[in-house]
This record gives sequence, structure tokens and C-alpha cells, in this order.
Amino acid sequence: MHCVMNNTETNNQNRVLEIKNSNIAVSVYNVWKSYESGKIKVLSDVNLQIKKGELVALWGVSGSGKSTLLHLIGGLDTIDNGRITTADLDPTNENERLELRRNKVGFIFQLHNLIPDLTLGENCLIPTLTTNISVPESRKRLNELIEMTGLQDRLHHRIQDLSGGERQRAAICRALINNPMIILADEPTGSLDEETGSQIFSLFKKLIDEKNITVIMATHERRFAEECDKIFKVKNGKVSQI
Amino acid sequence: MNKNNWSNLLVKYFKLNIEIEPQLFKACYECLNSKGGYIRARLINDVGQSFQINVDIIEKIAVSIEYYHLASLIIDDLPCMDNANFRRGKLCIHKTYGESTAILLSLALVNMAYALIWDAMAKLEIDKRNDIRELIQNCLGLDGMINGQAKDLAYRQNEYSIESFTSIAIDKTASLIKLSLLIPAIIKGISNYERYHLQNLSTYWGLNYQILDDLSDYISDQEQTVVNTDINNSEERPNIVLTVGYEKSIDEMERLKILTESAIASLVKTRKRWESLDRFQNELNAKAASIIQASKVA
Ligand SMILES: Nc1ncnc2c1ncn2[C@@H]1O[C@H](COP(=O)(O)OP(=O)(O)OP(=O)(O)O)[C@@H](O)[C@H]1O
Ligand SMILES: [Mg+2]
Repeated sequence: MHCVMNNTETNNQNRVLEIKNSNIAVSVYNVWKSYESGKIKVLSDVNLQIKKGELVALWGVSGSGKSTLLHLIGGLDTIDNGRITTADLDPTNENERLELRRNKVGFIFQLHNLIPDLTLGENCLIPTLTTNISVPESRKRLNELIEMTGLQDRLHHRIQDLSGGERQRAAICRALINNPMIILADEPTGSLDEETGSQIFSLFKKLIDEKNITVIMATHERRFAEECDKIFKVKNGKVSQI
Repeated sequence: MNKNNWSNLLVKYFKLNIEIEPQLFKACYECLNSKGGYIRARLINDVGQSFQINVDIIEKIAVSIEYYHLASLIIDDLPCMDNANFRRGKLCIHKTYGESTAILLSLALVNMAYALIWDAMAKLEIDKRNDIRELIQNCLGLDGMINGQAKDLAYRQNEYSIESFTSIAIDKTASLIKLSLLIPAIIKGISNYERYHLQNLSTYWGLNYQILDDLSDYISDQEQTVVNTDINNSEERPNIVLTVGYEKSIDEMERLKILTESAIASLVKTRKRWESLDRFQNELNAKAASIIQASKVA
């Protein structure tokens, strides 16, 4: 764990308390975010806490700020004011942010973007190339995921030869291969039809449950939000639990 | 369309003829045939085709944007700017044909680019035409590429940081990418939502390409220093890798990659056909992977 260098004394004390309270995966305190020098106000005074292993939904209409909040939690963008702690790390600190993105959080967008002329196995292993996971270890994880998603006999098929449902399952394997502690999922089933969307969501839910991963999922669909442990409604820059 | 076809089109639309002064003619021909990646032309072609825009119009826009790009490269390399010697593996235009020819050629490229855009917009509804005209002015004029180049030159004497790098790259590199994505999209008609995500996407790509460029400069400089300590003609140019370090540059690329995927995902939600943008991101990832590999060897 990196030491805290740039924070104030009080922040240090708060953090010590938090780290002790180690069942918290993500906490967001009084966070404000705007764009274009304050002209576009996106989030105002947002507060939330997410426990380890929880599956929570950020639910809100288009443009409400769901993606912005996920980006802030994952250290992709900077906050104007407030404090965020993700996996005991401070995304505003450069070194901690690096650790966070490399080893703690995984981002999932729509479950697509597989490379058509590579095989299913090759596609799933791509994320492991930029980490320090050994080849045997990544093989082991791949086999485990492939089995859990029932894709054993498709491993060496090229993506372009797979069905739509198989591709979605492959994308889930790819998303989980690095064993992230926290997954930030932005409308993972966004481009799917209703039935496939539900099937994929159930499978996803089963996998993260088995692996005890914390998931924060942005969605505008009530039916997916309702299957989560908690729902945070994002509206007019405010976030409230419902 | 493959890369040879693009250079053929660049030559075809330039309307070279025997009346042109021989030095200038040769410079034109060499410049139009220089081997580039044609990323802008390919983006336009891709977006244009998925929106089923008339091929003639797509070609004209694509060639036009490549002309702007070539003109900017020639100007960039001049002794009063970057003072570069090589470009795309060959001597720079001003090195072979002289500065005056290089300046005239860049003017010819810009003029022809405007003429082609004008031509491509001829039958478009007035609102869309005004929209595109304004966009071009924003991207290429005093708020866009010209300003980026001015800042780039000014920052050499001053402090260089990730913030200044970002603002320069947005003006210099993202501008033409933004035009490439937005012109065909506006012709066909897009929502404000799509437009906003396309703008973000061009910023992310612009920054990412700039980091990749700096990274490969950094690596080849390192290799050259080992072989020959005299060669170091890029010492004047601010380089992000030298400024913030290798690790942080790679980290910044990783951040941009996730944001790019996020932007593409938002676009795909509105129309499936935006999925074709993934191809460009995959290409960029592959390029990044090979440069990172090379840097490990170096
Ligand atoms: N880089 C940016 N510059 C300017 N405005 C931005 C930027 N990023 C987000 N916004 C604005 O912030 C608001 C929230 O955007 P965000 O993408 O977080 O919404 P969302 O809830 O994820 O929407 P969707 O369901 O459409 O994905 C939008 O109005 C958007 O225009
Ligand atoms: Mg979103």
C-alpha cells in the first residue's frame, strides 16, 4: 500500500479510520464536479458508501451523471471538491491512482469490442498483457472463466465465428480475467435486446457473486437496478439511495 | 480502401499539370505520395460509408482533410518552426526543394482543401453547411490548429507540463480528427448527444496519438544516443515522455483508452453502426503495444 504524501493531517487521520473499517470498498464524500470552468454542473455534493462484495446500481436518465461518477471513482477524471476513496486508495494522488487502475478496478462498458479475427481465448487474455500476471496463472484463470460461462468448446474459435450470445459471454470472461477487486460497469448490457440483456446480466451476477467482487453498475433500466443490492438514484446532480 | 488508393486519390484531386514550375511540381508529387497512415481519410471513409453518404462526397472530404494535414506537416517542419530534417522516413520537403517551395506547396494544399470542401458541401442544406463551416473555422483557425502551433512554439521557452501538453494536443492533433468524425456525421444528421461524445472521442484520440508519437520519438532518440551521440535534432521539441516520465505517459494512455471505450460505448447505445469505431481503437492499441514492446527492448 502506498503511503499518503500530499494529503493534509486530517485527511490522514480520516484515512486511517477508513482503512481500519476495511469492509468499505468505495466512499464518496461531498463530491462536486463540473465541466467547462464550472459552466456545466454535473454532480453537486454527492455522498455514498459501498461495502465490499456489494452489487449496486447507479440509476438515472441519460445525461444525469452516471458515467461521470464512475469515472471519478475509477480515477479517470478529477473532482472539483470533496473526497473519494476507492479500495483504500485516493484517486487524486498520482501514485495511488496508478495502483488503483492497474490492480484494483476493472472497467466494463458494453460487452462488445472483441477483436473479430482473434480467437475467443486470445481476446480474453489481452488485458493480462499489461499486468504482471504470469502466463500459467492467466491460463488458469481463463480456463476457470471459460468453464463457468460454458464456453469450453469455443476457446479456439475466432470471434467472428461465434454467436451473439457467445460473444457476450466471452466479453464477460475478458472483463473478469484480471481478477479486479472492484468492477465499474457502465451499462454493460446497453446494446443488447431485452432477453439477451437479462440472460447476460444473470450470468454476470452469478460470476461476481461467486468471486465476491464489488460492482458499481450504471444503468438507466429499472429492471436491472432492482436486481442489485442497493440502488442509488442519480438526478439533477444529486445522488440518493432508494 | 487501401493506402495506395489514398495516395492515388491525393494525386488525382490535386490536378497536377505540365505548366507547373518543375521544382514545385516535383515537391507536390513527392508530398502527395509520401506514405502516411491516412487515419483521417480512413475515419471519414468509415463514418461516411456507415452513414451511406455518396462516395464522391466522402472522397472529397477525405482528400481535403488529408491536404490540410499535409500542409500542417510541411509548415511544422520548417526551420522557423520545428526545424526538422526527416518526415515519414524521407528528407523534409524544405530540405529537398527549399523553404520557398515548401511554403508555396503548403498554400496550394490549403487552397485545394477549401475548394474540395466547398465542392462537397455544394448540395447540402444551408443549416448543415453553416454548421460545418463554423466547425472548420473553429478547428483550423485561431481557436484551433493555428493556436496549437503557436502555443507549441511558445511553450518551448517556458514550462512544459501535462496541462500544456493537453491543450496543445487538443488544438494541434485532435482538431483534424474532430473534423474527420464530425463532418460526415453532420452531413447525415446526428443528435447533440452523439456530437458531444464524438467531440470527446476526438480529444482522447488526439491526445493518445500525440503520446504515441512522443513515445516513439523518445525510444528512437534513446536508440540513437547509443549508436551516435551527434544525432539529436528533436531536442527543441517538448516531449511528454521526457516531461512526465515513461510510467506516467503509459498510465495516461491507459486512462485515455478507458475513456475512449466509454465514449464509443455511449455512441453504440445510440446507433449500432458506431461499433465500427472500435476498429480504430484496436489499431491504436496494437500500435501502442508494439511501441511499448520496443521500449522494453531499448
Ligand atoms: N468532458 C465533458 N465536458 C463537458 N460536459 C461533460 C463532459 N462529460 C460529461 N459532461 C456532461 O455531464 C453530464 C453528465 O454526463 P454523463 O455522461 O455522466 O451522463 P450519463 O448519466 O452517463 O448519461 P448516459 O445515460 O447518456 O450515458 C451531461 O450533461 C454531459 O453533457
Ligand atoms: Mg453514461
